[in-house]
Amino acid sequence: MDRNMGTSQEELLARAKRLDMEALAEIYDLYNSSLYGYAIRLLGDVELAEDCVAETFSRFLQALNAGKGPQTYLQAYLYRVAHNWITDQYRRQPIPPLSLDEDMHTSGEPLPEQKVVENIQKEKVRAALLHLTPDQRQVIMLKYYEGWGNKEVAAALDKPLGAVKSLQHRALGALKRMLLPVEEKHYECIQRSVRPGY
Amino acid sequence: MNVFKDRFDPDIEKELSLLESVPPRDPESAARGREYFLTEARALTPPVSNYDESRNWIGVLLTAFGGRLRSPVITVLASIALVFVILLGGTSATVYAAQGSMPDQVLYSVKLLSEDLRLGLTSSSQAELALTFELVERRIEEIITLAETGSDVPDSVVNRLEQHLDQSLNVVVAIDDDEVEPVMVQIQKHLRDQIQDYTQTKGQSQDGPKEGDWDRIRDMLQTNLDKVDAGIKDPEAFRHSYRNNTRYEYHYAEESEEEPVEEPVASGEGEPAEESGNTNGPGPQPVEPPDNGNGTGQQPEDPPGNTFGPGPAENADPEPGYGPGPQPEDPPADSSNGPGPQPTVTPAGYFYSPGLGTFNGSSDSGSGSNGSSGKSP
Repeated sequence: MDRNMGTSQEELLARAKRLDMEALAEIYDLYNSSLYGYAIRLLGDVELAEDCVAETFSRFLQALNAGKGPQTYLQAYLYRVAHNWITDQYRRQPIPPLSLDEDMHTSGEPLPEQKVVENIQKEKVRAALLHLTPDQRQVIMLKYYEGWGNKEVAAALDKPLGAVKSLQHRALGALKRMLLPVEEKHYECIQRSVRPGY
Repeated sequence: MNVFKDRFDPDIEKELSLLESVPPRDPESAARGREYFLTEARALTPPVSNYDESRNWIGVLLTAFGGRLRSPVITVLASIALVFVILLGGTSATVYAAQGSMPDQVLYSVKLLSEDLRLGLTSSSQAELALTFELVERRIEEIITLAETGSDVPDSVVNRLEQHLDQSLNVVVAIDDDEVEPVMVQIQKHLRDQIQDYTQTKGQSQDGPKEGDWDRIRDMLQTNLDKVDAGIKDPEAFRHSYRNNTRYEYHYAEESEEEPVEEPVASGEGEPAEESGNTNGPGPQPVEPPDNGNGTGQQPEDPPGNTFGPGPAENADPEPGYGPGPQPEDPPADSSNGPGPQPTVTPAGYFYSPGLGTFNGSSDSGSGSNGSSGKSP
């Protein structure tokens, strides 16, 4: 949930708009860790996640300096900027495939088998999230990992509540198809049954 | 309380929970990120100024028009001011129209002139850096557009790109020690992005710069990136080399105008020449720049004048825009800086024009530097 909802956040934002250094430092301290967590879950790369946090706050500053930036929902605004940055990252490079082989673990060092399997599973979940549409992905990320309510998610996406619920429904359906083995097998059976020659 | 989990398929929840734990963050990186952010914020904060508005000509005019137009002299002044405003309005329209011009078009020189003016008017290192980034991107776009239309890329455009790249590196010389690393990292990131974008554009484009031009531009970007990489490892050496090669000479020229070396007095009452350490002749000796490297030549009264706001973001969301996009021409932030930049001849034979921000003439600095951002001395 937004830790600074209400008057205190509005005051903080008002001071930040005047480029008050204490307010800016406070905002950074409030949100940098959670933004980092958000970024690393999706990016899976420490350096990229740090870049994402730095770029998010830099864009925030530039917006304030230009007399723009958030009007009320500061946290929602920051997450939206971070989300857009991550989406842009994946526009520049291909999204990892859903079918991951067992050689895939990022450290390059030998790992215990259990750890390798865990890493593969994590990468699979990450890949599945990345195969969602950007809006679906953000709904899942904010609701599941950040524990936000529909109202806050709607503010972050700048969409009505009904649209958020609909996005969530479609996202869950897509994740089920991509992640759950039974569903996957069932889906394959359906695919086979409609193919000519089977 | 996670309202989402309560209503969710436990199998999906199990899968998603794999990403729930986040690996511990490196505290050093976190601290560096915070420092970087605060440095950037400080650069945007307007400096405290005790500048007396009534001392400049605008202040005088405002004071005059604030009261009554009592004398014919003031009425004449008002008429002149009106004509000036009308002329300035026409000029602004021309400058605005020139912003989209290409090197083979008539208004291109106006575009370059307006860029030089903007560079000359920047009042903070961060603003100067943002502007040089924007200019680098502009030049690269021009080069690609020219090539795609089958036109040759003029050397002057490539040279200008090189100059902007060098200007961005020169910013490092003028900033405080604690700002060096974040700024260098900023430059490094910008160069990497440029190389990546340029490479992608080249790959996607059927036409594109000719192979020679392509390599030259790519090499230019890469060389600057290498310099920055080395500079991040040893910032002091980097600043020292740049200070000695460009800024140093510029500031020496400024100082030598203000504090001329005393000539020995024939009567014997003056100081002996040897005491100045000058054993090579009567010419002035270079004076070491101050240790803090703050040699931008900015006046303490300078208002921020940073109007380089963020441009449109890459994505569809316009609000959190980022990056210096095309901006309307900056208004002169402060007319109190005198009648405008004056050319300065440096001891090394450079002709330095602060308004144009360029060095012309033979350069043997070895840094590949042929430009420096100018501030009104």
